[in-house]
Amino acid sequence: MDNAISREVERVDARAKARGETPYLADRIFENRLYARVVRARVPRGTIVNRNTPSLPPEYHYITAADVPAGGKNCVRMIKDDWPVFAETEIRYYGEPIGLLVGPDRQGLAELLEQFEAAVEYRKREAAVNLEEGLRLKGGPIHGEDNLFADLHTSKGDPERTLAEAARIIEREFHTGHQEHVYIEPQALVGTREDGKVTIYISTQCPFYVRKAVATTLGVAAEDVVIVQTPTGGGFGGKEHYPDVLATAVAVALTKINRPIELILDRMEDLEFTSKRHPSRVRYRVGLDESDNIVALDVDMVLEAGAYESSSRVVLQRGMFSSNSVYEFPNVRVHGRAVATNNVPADAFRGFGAPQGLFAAEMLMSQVARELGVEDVELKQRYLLRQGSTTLTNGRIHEEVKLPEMLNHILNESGYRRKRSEYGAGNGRGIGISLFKHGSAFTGNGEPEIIKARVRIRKRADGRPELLVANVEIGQGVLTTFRKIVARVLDIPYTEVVYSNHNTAQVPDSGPTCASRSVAIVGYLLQQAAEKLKGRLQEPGEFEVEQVYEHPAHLHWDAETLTGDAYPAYSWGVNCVEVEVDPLTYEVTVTGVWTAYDIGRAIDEGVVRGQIVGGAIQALGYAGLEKLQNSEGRFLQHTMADYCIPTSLDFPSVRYTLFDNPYQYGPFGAKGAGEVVFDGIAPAFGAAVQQALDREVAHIPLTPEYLSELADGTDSAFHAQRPARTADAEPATTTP
Amino acid sequence: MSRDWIHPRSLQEALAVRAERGAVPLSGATDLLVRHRGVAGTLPSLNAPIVWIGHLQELTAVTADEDELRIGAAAVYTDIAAHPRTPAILRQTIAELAAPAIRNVATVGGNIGNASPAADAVCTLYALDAEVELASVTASRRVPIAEVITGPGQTTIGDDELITAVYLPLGQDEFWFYRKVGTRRANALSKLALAARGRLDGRRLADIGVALGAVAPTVVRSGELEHRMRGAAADDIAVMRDELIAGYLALVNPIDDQRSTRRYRLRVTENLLSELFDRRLPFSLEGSAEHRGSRSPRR
Repeated sequence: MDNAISREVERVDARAKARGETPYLADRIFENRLYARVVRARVPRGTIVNRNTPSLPPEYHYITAADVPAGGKNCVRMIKDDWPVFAETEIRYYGEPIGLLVGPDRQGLAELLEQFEAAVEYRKREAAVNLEEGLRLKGGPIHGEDNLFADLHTSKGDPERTLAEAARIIEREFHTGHQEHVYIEPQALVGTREDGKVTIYISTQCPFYVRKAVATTLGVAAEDVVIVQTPTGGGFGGKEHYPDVLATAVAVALTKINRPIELILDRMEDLEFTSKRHPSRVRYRVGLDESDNIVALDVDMVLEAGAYESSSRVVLQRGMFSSNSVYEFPNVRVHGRAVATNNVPADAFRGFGAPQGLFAAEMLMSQVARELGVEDVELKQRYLLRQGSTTLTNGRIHEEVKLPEMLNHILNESGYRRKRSEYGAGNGRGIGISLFKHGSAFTGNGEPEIIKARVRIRKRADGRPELLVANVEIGQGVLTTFRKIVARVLDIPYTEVVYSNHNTAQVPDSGPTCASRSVAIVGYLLQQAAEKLKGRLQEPGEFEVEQVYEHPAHLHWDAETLTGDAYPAYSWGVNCVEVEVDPLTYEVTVTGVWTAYDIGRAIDEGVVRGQIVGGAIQALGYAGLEKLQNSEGRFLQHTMADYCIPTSLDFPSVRYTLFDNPYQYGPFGAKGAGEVVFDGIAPAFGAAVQQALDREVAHIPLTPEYLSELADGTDSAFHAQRPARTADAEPATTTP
Repeated sequence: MSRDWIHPRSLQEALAVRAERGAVPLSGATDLLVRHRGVAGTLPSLNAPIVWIGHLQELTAVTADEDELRIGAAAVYTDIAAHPRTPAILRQTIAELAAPAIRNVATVGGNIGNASPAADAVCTLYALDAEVELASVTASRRVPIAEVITGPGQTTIGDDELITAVYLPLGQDEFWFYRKVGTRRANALSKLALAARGRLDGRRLADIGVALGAVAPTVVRSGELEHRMRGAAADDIAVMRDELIAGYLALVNPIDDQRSTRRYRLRVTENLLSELFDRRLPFSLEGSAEHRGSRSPRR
């Protein structure tokens, strides 16, 4: 196999999107359509005492939990059934849906919404609105006895003994914050009935998740629900499960109202009430022997899950399995918890727990190096995973690991060693490096046991192959990459391949569009299916070939003990970020970003470049700009003016190099690329800031406010850069 | 709703509508309609009639004579920045204000009328000794900008008055220093800002104006502290700097909000004032044009 497939082609969706011609759901008009608005709770925690439901004008409807059909269930089925479609009496977060208003006029709905929300009387309870309050059971447990949606352990070697016998223990604690997805198109769907079936047109990553959730809520067979994915303006994990929350509500309304119902969230509503990235707290104890070798690692990871479980158990697993980054330590113990709070539920977000684990792990290594007085790159190099290494879940690294050559490349390209010594410590300039990996596909036995992906290719009467899969375009380029894979097998132009059916009644379930699995898993199934079609395109008539997922025989996983091969294969990365910190304002200017990735083989270098640049910018926002601050159960930042994502002026161009390392079970050797490109930026940024300030960095986002507090310490050289006088002048008047 | 949107043919007519119906003037709408926006598909929730003024030529012109620049209240920032006589510090302020699309429609009159303590251009107008022209059907008056804005959203503009222009004195300044600290590089709101300009007479400060934005209910400018600086030489400023900074810090009263913290705003206000007094007053750089006007470089 050569890498000719990597050559960039024009994305099939590029022109229409650049011209604004792609019809998103808000551009479509369904005849006779009604609009819907979600009626939301106005307390972060409590019980509804009285709804005082106002009367409705003609043609308006109010849908609540009481309208869930007999045989159905008032829950949004994701992994658990704990998240209600409509709260009945208990309120767990500010903005939780308590009903749905449906009517012909949006102005009328807006006025009714105000009346309906204001009318509800609550008995308020003390809310737990951050991770620590959740762990403390503030206000009493929200979930179970201990507020834990998941409480998991995994270990390798003999961590108890080696920690007890260690010559020295180094301890650190790291924190990461919420992050909002800010996909360009807000959550959107139109529910209707077609041929007697509930049919949902929806902006989503996972049409079959929506189908499962809606069928469960309505108590009907999955086949009696039809989901059609519409052109989707970004997802980043925010349209993995959250669309289920809105689709189930509209589905309940459809049992009462026989007209199309449109529910499109307003941007501010979307910002404030849809799922977010899990905040984290990671504590480490590092055991060293007398020669300063790391012999044991003790990890205590807590993710803030918010009000309901959603995907938190699995996000936690990926976080835990990332908490030693790319290093092989003989003895490791990881305790992971997902804690309930009275915040919007956290759910999938590009990286799915890995960015939290990797930020902590990489910052830890750089701080251990500081404490030991060695360069962090030297320390990291001593422990790199290699082919045949044992992972912390006692699985194997099966592929060749190209980290050493990737690292060398980045060191040279960035001038890291020279700059590292030239900038010194605390002089306002810094450069940092991170190493990391991201497992392609679902964690553990997710692919063979839960998803069991299935794809088909139809040979159409006109001779063209048509892809029948559940995976969808969310801006990441899959419409192009899937076509290229199949076209190359069949030796036809990629534009000849048809891939336009996104209807659950007509395509097999090849699984969700997430977890860096579309190309790695489904792309490979398509390659295999295309092989079956090879030489048959000239046959008359129409027929289909099918391919079902087969788990490679060398992979083993025990879901009870969380041991074995957590992922079929990993994508690997090395990132370097260079910064300057303004001594007057503590604003950070990123002056260089260098990246290297082993994603097996790129199916299309243009698509991969889009992932790399977009992932880096989104991660720099996560690391330095994007802050969600909770005040009494609500985020203070709920407009785009206050929740600031980066613009093109905020960060420089991102350099990248791909290291070709074909993966046996990936299409033409490809592994996942969508998330690894996010994972490593924050710790590289953190390490760079650490050098610039000569201060240990313990949390992100690294806002100028946080940096000013770090720099206010006494022994930092950065301090000397500031004007001498300190601001202790506190005006007598108080803050209004 | 449409009857509440009035499209006058002249300023006189607009002033009449203002007086008779208490109509709220609207031009670029980049603040007013954002503040009163409803969700998609609904109308903004304005409870007063609107008088559209963006088309009135009496209000959109930017003109200059020898001594002063007259900026029509409905002149948009793009046009203000393009005028050859616009002071460099104001041009720099506009370059960092919001985004090009907003600068193409946002007006100086709207910025003053909204009276946000974080309004970028307003801070610089304070430093530039701006005067605001207010007109009613029967009268017209010119008032220093600090007497127009009294608090967040609070002004002394009469119920029958409209802002018709802003006047800036021209031709005096030799140096300026402007620094906006925003939430990000572009299209950002201010966490705080400092605008300073002035003139040397030989080796002494002949004139100086220092304005601090977003750190108090209104832009902070101190006649008393500026008076102490006038006539000062480099050595005098070096002696006074601590007192000057303390003086300013006693006048500001920043808050914790969704964009920043009181602590940060105090710290950076102090840092920017130190930068101004220690490095940006061009005593030692006489004749060095490149240092006469500046914005602190982002490092």
